[in-house]
Amino acid sequence: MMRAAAWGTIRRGVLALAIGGPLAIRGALAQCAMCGSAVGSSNRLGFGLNISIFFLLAVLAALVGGLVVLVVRSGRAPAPHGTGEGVSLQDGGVPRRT
Amino acid sequence: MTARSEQPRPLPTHRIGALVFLMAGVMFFAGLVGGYLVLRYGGSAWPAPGMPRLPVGLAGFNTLVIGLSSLAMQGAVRSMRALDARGMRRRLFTAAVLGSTFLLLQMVQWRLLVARGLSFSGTTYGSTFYVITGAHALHAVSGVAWLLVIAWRQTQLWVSDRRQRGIEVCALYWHFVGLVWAALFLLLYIF
Repeated sequence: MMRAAAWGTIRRGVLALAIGGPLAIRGALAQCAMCGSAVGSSNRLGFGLNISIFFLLAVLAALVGGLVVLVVRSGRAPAPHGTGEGVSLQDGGVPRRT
Repeated sequence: MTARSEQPRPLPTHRIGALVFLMAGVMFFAGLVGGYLVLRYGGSAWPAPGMPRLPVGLAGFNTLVIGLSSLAMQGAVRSMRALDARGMRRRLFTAAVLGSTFLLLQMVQWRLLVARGLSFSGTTYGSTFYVITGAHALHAVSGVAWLLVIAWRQTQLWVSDRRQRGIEVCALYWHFVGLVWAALFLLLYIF
């Protein structure tokens, strides 16, 4: 039931992108032209902007990739620490239910 | 081995929450560094002529201090897992003291640079430097406060589940603060 609802949401999102994307791209390209003409007047500024964009994309990719790897690996790892049992430090460390 | 133990176990919720929060923190600093890179490579000279050089030695020592603090925090987590509450508390205080030392040295560095003529509003060089290091110092202040609260509240020889999760999340945050400083040190002082 929940899976069907999720697929429905994904389908609606893809449809919205397919219809809205071409409409929005003209506005985006206009911004690109403005930015390009502003940056085109200086090679150094263009270089700085490129470095900055590359850096931000790299950080984002590393973060999302890292999280995906972590989640996938956690599916194969043994039980993580602290899942439902409190640890007594007074009784020689004998775990007991909280 | 039972069938139950073979089932994949999900990542604990508190760690996922902490990681998502830290991802937001990383993107915050990435935004600041992105702006810094545009200004640095877009300008004609960096630093501007007449501006003082940043004290690499002091900052390097500070990097060592926050690195040691991070190690102490990891030691506290290990002590918690080894059921050594006193050791854990001691290491938490050590991490907090080292974190406070880091902040103190940062203030010394800022005063030194202001005395040499690097003001906040004079040049983009000064503005970006103070904004980035100031934003990091604010994170470090909150981290030190968090460490102190955890250490002070840990008076018993018992660590509940809830507190264990809190300490783990605090450790993740403190490592994040340390790693961000290491990256900022390389970017601002070395390259």
